[in-house]
Amino acid sequence: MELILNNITKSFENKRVLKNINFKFTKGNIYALLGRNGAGKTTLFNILAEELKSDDGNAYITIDGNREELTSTDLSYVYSNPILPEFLTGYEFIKFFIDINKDKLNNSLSIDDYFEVIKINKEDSHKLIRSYSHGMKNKIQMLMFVITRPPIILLDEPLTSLDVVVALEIKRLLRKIRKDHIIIFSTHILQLAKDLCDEIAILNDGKLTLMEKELLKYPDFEDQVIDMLKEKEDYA
Amino acid sequence: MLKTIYLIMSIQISMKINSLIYFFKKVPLIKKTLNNINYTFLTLKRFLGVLSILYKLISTPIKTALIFLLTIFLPTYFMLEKNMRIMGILILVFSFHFIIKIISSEILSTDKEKFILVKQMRMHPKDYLFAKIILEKSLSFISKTLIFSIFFTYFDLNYTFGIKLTIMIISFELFIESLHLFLFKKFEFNINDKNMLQLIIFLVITILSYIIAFNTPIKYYSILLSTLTSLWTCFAFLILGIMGVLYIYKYDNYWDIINEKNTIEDFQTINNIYKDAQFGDVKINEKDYTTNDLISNDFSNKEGYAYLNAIFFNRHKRVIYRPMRIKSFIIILSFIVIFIIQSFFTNKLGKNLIDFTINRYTFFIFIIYILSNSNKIVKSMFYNCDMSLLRYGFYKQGDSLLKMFFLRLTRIVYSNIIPIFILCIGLLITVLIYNPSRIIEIIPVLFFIIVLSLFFSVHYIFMYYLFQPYTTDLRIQNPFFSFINGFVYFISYLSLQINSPASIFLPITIFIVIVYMLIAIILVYKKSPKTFRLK
Repeated sequence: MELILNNITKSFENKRVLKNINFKFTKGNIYALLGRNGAGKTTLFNILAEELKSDDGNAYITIDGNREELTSTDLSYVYSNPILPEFLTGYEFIKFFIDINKDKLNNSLSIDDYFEVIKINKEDSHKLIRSYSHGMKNKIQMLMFVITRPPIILLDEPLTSLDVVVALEIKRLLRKIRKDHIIIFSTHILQLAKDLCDEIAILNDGKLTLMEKELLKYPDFEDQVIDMLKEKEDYA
Repeated sequence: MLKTIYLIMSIQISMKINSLIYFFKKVPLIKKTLNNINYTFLTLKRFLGVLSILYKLISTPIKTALIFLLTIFLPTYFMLEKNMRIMGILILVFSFHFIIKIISSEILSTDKEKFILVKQMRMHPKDYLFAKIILEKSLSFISKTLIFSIFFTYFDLNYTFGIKLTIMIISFELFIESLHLFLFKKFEFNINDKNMLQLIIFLVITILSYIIAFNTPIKYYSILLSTLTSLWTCFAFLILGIMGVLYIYKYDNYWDIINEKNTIEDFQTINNIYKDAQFGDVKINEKDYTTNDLISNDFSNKEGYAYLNAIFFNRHKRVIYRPMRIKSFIIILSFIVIFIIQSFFTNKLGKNLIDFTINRYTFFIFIIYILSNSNKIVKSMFYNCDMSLLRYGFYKQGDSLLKMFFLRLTRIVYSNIIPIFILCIGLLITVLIYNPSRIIEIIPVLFFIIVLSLFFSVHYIFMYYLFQPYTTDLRIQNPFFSFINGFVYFISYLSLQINSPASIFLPITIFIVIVYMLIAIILVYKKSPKTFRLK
């Protein structure tokens, strides 16, 4: 399975944010999408999730050699700031979500089992989402892709505002499920990218480039990344 | 201090211009031409300073004149005989420019400019607050002198009265400011924290002032006039004013003032209050539901969107079903009252009601407009449900949207139609009891009423799905939405005046309404997957 970005371009007013991006993501990897603030990470995610139209170019998904245009049903998009319908309890929301995805699911976990996976206890699962903490809401969002298991999972700065315990739980969860998915994880925190991800893709000056894996092992890896980000900025 | 004043004014005007440009950048036609403008040209300080002084010098007198005209001059002009007017004016001036000033303080208020200048731009709070009060009072002095001199000359009082009055007002205001500063320092009392108290006193004073102004016998007029025009009174006020300024100047507690009411949290509260004003009436409250409500299996027989919708309407009983019950109750009560009056007092009421229903049936357009509750329901749908779910791909797909649209429509129709059915049954019973021969004539009217109720149920949710007018920061964005809703109100109101024969008007409106509903449903089907999005 591969996710192929072909010539994706996007401008806002007079600023070109994404410049002819060509890139290939492959299954079984967690990718860090690393870029400075305002580099266009969220813009790229929004285009993949069909929330925003690109000015040019397309994204494709190939499964067993069949290439098709990417649609929002192929992916799960986890927002940095989780927004969920607050009039429902966590349990009700997950039941609703399972109902509408019933025909796509092939595992037979109960709703309570799912809450077990993300470590939210039974009592809390029956409280209104309105009363949930940021971390709990984030876990509910994660549960959505655990349930549907879409081929591609996009995470927009998901761990930045979580406490250490929840962040660790989520990291473990991502590692556990990575073999069947393409997971792309946007962040501007270098350490997190190195710690969790198999590959690092750098978005700078509107271009997306893959860092060589070997570089990750070098002690001066951080300096090199910073050089890359700076260098390209100077050209701009 | 002059430099500080100059700086304050430049910043005020640049904030105004920036927000103006920001606003125009949102307007469809102008948007394009403004796209290339950036905000940096506004750093031309000298230009801004001059511009702001001019702006203030022109706008403050206009504001003063308008407020005087609307709150004092026009009410007395319409309510009082010519010889009584000047007295009414003096009483209102006394209340609005003296008494009401006691219950608030400018220095102790929370405002964004204070936060920006002192907290963010590190201006010293004393420099800022003192300069600011002097600036405001000077401008106020110039405008009031100008406006009052003109007005009171018109009333054959000498223009010097206008000047004297202005001196008294400004001096009094300064004295009151110093008094509030004193109370704050001594007792940590800030009048601006007591919003409820301020509001009550404000309302009481306003109402009382108008009552007194419109009902005081002429003999008290000369006492009030001679007190206000006396040079001694003016002198006394002036002394109070000077004491006030000196106190304000020597005051040493300015940091506390800024820290007390101008922290970042205060501004978040202000923003939340703004949001609450928009959506507070549809907010859900956790305390309204017991643990059992939340665990119950009442909806377990439903699935997917039907499940979601059933829970939504159940958790919004307060917004949806309570108004329905109240309206139904009022309608039942009205009919009972009519029956009682008919039975014990006059025997004409029933017949008159039937005549009215048949001849002035357009009146029901307005009644049903008022009875329909769809607008509020739509608002709660956005705020509590769609604002979050529209972020997810599955919810935005055409068939999901349509499923939700029809599920919601049925519930809305149900909540609107119950009171309407009761109204129709009431009218039917009235005809059967008091004038059965007219039953054939009333049936089309009842049909008309029901169709109208369907219209108002469809209309709002249709508009919502077609325009999705709200932005995630909860302001109505789409001008068409407000415009069309205003237009519907206008038509409903206008219908009160229509007096055309039922045989023509009824079938035509019923036909139009049915066609409208069909078009609405087709449009939702075709367009909403594109238009029903987060903005």
